Amino acid sequence: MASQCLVASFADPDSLLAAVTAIRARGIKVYDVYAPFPVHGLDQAMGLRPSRLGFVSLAAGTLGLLAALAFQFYANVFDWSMNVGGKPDNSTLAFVPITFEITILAAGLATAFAFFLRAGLFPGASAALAAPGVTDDRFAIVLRWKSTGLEATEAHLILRERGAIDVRHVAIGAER
Amino acid sequence: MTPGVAAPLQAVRGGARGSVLIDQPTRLRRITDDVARPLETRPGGAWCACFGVAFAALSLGIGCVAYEIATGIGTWGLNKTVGWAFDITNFVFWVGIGHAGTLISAILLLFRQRWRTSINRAAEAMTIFAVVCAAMFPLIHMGRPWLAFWVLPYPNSRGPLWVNFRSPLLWDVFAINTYLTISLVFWYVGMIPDFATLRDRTAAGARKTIYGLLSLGWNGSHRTWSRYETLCTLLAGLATPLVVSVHTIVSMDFATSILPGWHTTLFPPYFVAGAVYSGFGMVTTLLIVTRTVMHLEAYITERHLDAMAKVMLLTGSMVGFSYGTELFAAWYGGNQYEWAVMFGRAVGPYAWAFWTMVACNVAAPQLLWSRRVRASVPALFVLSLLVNIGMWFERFVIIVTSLHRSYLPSTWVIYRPTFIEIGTLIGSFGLFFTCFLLFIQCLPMIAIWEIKGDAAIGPSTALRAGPSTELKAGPSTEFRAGPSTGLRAGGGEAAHG
Amino acid sequence: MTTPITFWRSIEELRAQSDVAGGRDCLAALRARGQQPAVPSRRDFLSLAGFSVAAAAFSACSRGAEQKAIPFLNQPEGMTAGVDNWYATTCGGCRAGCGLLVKTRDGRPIKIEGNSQSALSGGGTCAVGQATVLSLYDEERLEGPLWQGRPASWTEVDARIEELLSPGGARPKRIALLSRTVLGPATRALVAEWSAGRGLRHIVYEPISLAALRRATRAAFGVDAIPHFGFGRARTIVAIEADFLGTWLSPVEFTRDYASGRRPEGAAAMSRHIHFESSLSLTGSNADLRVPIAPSEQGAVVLGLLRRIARKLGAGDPVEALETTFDARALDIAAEDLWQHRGESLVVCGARDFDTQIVVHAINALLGNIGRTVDVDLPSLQQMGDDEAMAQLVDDMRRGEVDALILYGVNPAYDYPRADRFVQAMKQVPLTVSFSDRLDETAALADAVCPDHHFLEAWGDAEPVASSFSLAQPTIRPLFDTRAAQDSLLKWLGRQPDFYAYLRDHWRRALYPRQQQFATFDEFWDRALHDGVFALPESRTARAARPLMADWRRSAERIRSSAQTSRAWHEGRFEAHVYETVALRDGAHANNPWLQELPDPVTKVTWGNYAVVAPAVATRLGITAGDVVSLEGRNLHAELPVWVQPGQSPHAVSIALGYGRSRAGRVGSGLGTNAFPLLAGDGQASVPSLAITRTGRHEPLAATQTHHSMEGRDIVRQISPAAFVDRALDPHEVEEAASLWPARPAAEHAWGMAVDLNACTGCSACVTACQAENNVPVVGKDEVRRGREMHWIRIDRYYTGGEDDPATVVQPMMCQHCGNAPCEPVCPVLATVHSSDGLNQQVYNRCVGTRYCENNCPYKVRRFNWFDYANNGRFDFNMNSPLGRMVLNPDVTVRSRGVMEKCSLCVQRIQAAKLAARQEERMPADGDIRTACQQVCPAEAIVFGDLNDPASRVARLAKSPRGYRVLEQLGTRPSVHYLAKIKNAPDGDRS
Repeated sequence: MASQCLVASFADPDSLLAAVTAIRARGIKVYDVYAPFPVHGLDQAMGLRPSRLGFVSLAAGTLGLLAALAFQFYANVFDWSMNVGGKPDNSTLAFVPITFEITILAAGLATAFAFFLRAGLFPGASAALAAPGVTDDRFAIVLRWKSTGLEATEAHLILRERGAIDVRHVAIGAER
Repeated sequence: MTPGVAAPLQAVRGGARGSVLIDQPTRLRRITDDVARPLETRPGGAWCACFGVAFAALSLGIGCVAYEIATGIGTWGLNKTVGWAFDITNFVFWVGIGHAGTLISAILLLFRQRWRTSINRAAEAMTIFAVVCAAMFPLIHMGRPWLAFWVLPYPNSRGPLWVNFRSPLLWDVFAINTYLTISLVFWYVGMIPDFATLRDRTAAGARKTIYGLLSLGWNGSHRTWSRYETLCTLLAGLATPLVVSVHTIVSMDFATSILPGWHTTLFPPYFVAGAVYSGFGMVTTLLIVTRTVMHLEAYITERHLDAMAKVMLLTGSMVGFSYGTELFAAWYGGNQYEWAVMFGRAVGPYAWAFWTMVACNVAAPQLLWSRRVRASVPALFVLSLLVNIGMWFERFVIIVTSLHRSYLPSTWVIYRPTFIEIGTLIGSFGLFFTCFLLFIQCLPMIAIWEIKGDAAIGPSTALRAGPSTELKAGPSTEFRAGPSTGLRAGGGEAAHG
Repeated sequence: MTTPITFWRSIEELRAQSDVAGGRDCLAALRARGQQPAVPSRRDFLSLAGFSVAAAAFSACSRGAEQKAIPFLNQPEGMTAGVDNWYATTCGGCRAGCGLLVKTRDGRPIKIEGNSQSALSGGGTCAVGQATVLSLYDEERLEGPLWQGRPASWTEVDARIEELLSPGGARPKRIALLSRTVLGPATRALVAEWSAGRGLRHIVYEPISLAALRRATRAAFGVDAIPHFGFGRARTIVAIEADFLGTWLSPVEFTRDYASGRRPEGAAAMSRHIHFESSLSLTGSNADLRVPIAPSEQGAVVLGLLRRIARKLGAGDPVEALETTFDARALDIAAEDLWQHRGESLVVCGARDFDTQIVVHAINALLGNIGRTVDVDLPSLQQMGDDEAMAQLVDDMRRGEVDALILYGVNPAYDYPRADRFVQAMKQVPLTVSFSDRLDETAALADAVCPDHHFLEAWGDAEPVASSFSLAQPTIRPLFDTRAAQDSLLKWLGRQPDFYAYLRDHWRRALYPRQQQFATFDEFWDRALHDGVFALPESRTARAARPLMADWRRSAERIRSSAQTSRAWHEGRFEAHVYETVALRDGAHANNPWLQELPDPVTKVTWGNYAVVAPAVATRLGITAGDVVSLEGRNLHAELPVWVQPGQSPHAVSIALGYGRSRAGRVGSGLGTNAFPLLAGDGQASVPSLAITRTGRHEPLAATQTHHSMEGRDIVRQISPAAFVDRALDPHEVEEAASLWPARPAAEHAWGMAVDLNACTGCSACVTACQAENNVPVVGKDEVRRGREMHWIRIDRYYTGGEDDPATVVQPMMCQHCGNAPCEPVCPVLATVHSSDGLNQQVYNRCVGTRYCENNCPYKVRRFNWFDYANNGRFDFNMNSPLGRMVLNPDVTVRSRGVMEKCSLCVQRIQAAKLAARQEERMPADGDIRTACQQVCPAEAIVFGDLNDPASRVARLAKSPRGYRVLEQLGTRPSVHYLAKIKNAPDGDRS
């Protein structure tokens, strides 16, 4: 399906921020922004919704907690009841530390994996850059349309006057 | 220090005042260059010397452990009364070292302490290596290490046969493994963007492929960046209670026992404070060495050292307070066995160890009240070494003095370490430093993206971040400010030039 | 063309260059034949690969090490594989001749227990008795006869000996038989036959001799033996330098008897024991009042007693007093107490001086104890040594007046005080024959060695006390080509070498007629053999008092005059004092690792002897335990480490006998110093003196206990009789500390133990019994120094009071099998858990060896296997040799390296008893189960049983007013209860 992109490179975060704001002010959708570090204020400028990774943590943590408790209870009370130092089979207090550790472990790992999944990061994933140096010292805005129209030229101008050091039209497929 | 290191910072700072467009990229790139330099150049003589020493120590340790496993725990000095000594002392010591790393990377992140930025990567690495060293000791201290996997609850063909979930040793197993795993994840996630940076600046070849694999196809998309920051915050939020729980559980190895000198509710906070204390001691030692060996004075500045000295002063005083509380409780509690142990520590056969501990952990850190001491790198270096020594002896005192004279006087004995035990201790240091030296040579030991992020933030933030002394600092302290005060750093640079 | 360069690595190779095909370099060989070395082809590769794969596959099919398990082709009568057989026999460990029951498994004796049928020794044994079973499997034993030091056949040896013994020639051969006390009537008869037939001269030699006492008894009562003492009947016991509970005469019998007289719950009042001695002995440590005296003061003590008793009798002062170094008030107390209980009191003395013993007899006679506590009608025959005869023999040998010397169970080249003179003398004897079981110091010098059986392999009998007999029967076919000494004697006498027949015949002729119980001899014999012991009726009848025939006044006078000779310590020297240790006694068992590693009941030191000095002396000389000093005396020049012993006389240096063996064997040779030379010269008149000088060297002693004060902790409770009476009124219930948890449901049993600290003397027999029963490894001197001995039961010994004259308490300490065991919750792998019947179990094969349980045990009774102690050259003791391993108990696992172990309350015995009970469809009755430590205890201080059963002995003892549990306040709820010790001190409530 034919579509094409407009890639504008910037040299400093401030002008990038300004450009993004201006573009969105004109109602043009920003496809994505590429930067060597998380530029503060971009979330609002791009209007990104806050990530929902927190819910993953919560869910996984709760799951780990319940699983750990249930397993220790099962092992000590049902499967293999033993007289250990005269303590009762269900020494729940003694189960707390392990339960806690499992909770943390589950939450941590699940969150990390959720992140990798959502961000499509995995060993050997292709990493074509929007513009040279976006992982080093450049910042890039990528706009994307089904077909070139007035909007594109307008965006081109806006980006230029917001201090883009280089604006290019790229055929589809180059970007993600 | 290498010329012009501070320049890019000045430029980025300058970015706020305009006149940036021309040379800014080159300057952001120079941060990358500085951090990536060790990775792209052959190791220097200093590094090779350090590595040689560390590796020799490691080999000695391997030899001792091999002999011990082949022959029996009898090659150590333990006996019918003292069942633990060097082994668990080293274990607790190394776990403690690890904690500072997590504290710096996680807790300070939550508190938005920006000065942590340039040291947190190294601190996390230290955590991981320390925990690896620690985890080694519970394994080799077993009478039958080849059956160590029995401490894991796995379904087996022996009918219902589970582990003892009431045993603090089992809690350790879970705590240490969780701690190691989460720290590794945190550490690696933090490095992904830097791997991408490195990938994109290396010419095609083996290194590029490796970086490519490690960077998981990172391309700097801001949508990912924003999730990435959430992830880091979440991991930090999880790691913070984790680090507290780990040393709490370690302290329970002793606190839940029936042994006078171990059986006390004071241990969890006491141990956590001690852990942070020793950890910061080790971080200070390492950073002072690293910044000189790798010429990174502009990134690891005296301001960092100052901040860490203050943490040492705080935690050291907490530890000293705990000693006092312990003694007081033993006396006030009126339990003759408890008091016998506490009193015995101060005057018994191991009094020398006790007083070494007090001198290093209670007396020495009080010097840090003086700013001149905190400002002097050599003084800090010596102090940080003392802290490490003192904290090792703390664990030794707790374990051995409590064991060697417990309830029945007929069982009282003297414990003497053997060469094998000492060799194993040296070996653990060898392992730690070997790993750390490899790390600073092969991985970005400073978080490139975080530095850049900080560099890009206005002076106002910088002021908020640093200690209030920052701007009032005298001429001798222009480098204290670190990245976020690149402007003055630049001035300093000029002045020096 | 160029000649190929040939390289060579050695002259040999260079010279051998010619024969290239010499396999040194096969390629070179090929090259020489102008061929190329074969390049492996694909075929070769495939075939090789195929082979190696097949080889790997087959090796994977192997079953590992082969173990021989040969079933009975035809099963022996009355033996089932894996089922114990018990045989009654008589102990050969020392001359006490205790009755034994020997447990054999699959034809191997593996455990020795006392014969409860024996009226003398009862069911108890001593440590030595327990360990004798290991001597049976001693690798140092000779495997056959030797002639001139080289192996020979019995026929050859017999031929040569018979030739040399044959009466042919000018005059009859003068043959001397030098033996230990011969307990067996049959053997005595055999020897008598020799004497009659061949003019054999029989000399009885005891290295540690009671000859003085025997001579005194002969002089005083016309009985050529040693009186049989009744410690149980005595209300007051005064002992002077006589360690009758540990090493003197018949310790097991005396311990049993002594304990029976000291039961506070018993009908009769508890006896009082006053002890005078130079070095703190096991017996002294049990005394109610103990007085340290200088070795040369034994006479002064008996004189002091004599004067006081005589005065009370109104007989005036027979002799004026001697000044003493100790507080003479002790003598007043002793005399008063003796007088109070005249007729039921007892004075015994270990002095090697005739006159002193006469006076002791006189005191007993004056107190009317003869026939009551001192039995001379049926005396003890256990110590018949004759020093004069021995001295005479040595002289005759030196003068060449002995043609043949037969050594039977003696080792004078080691333990004769003038060993050098004896060795000289031996050289003058044309033929010397030894019956020794090993090539010991004496046997090594003998022309012929005709190894005797171990007593567990031999027939025999014994009469330790007149009219009390016991039989000995083989419990195993002889391991080696040995022959009973009696058979040898019979053979050389020209008789049929069948001692069994001889023995049976002797009993038929000598004993059968003296009893009315049995109609036929076979009945009598079978019963005697079955029971192992047989007592004639008169042994139970009352005795009449006997008149004192000797002139004790002259003896008293002689003592006084000889005592005037200047005492050693006046010249800053020390009086030498030698003693036997409970473990090694006279050193005959020096090669027995169990005994070497048995901690001395008092010093707690193992593996070797040392110079015992008083704390004051140590301070004065600036030496501490382990400092090596050199001792210079008339007969002794030695360097040995010092042990600082509270309660030691400041004038005496004590050295243990039985060490310094040069040819005991791998284990016992070269340990410590031989102190026998100090015994040269008889009696107290000539107590040898020693000078001590520091060498500056330090040689740490292998002590199992290094701290000797209770630090004011409530560990061993000791109360006065008065306090006991008060306590007896209020009922005592075992109250448990409050618990946060619901109690677990009670099971059908709750095994527990009660240890009576008042009965326990600390003799340590239980330690060795446990070692034998539970395959406890021996770890050796170095490991003991490191604090790694493996004993499952230990005797904790604490001192109270001043270091010059401390009171001693002992406490057997084994796993307390706590109801709330601190060791259990800390084990990560559940290797130690609680059984439903109250045992704290250790699961060896689950243990990974974290040692947390050891750390968390308040009683520190857990033992860790620091190394492999079996099949390990580093620990070259019995578990390292196939022969030595024959002693192992098949019911108990041999623990591997890296696992924890501890007392199991002999769980194997519990299970066996439960099984037996189940087969009889009943519950195990109280007393069915006896742990090894309980069984061996001569004082019956240990009781095992079911605490759930209120009628059981242990349950009743737990409720005793003396009952308590160690460290109860920790809430560990131990299953082992202790009964407080009662100190019957003369000055009332001193406890």
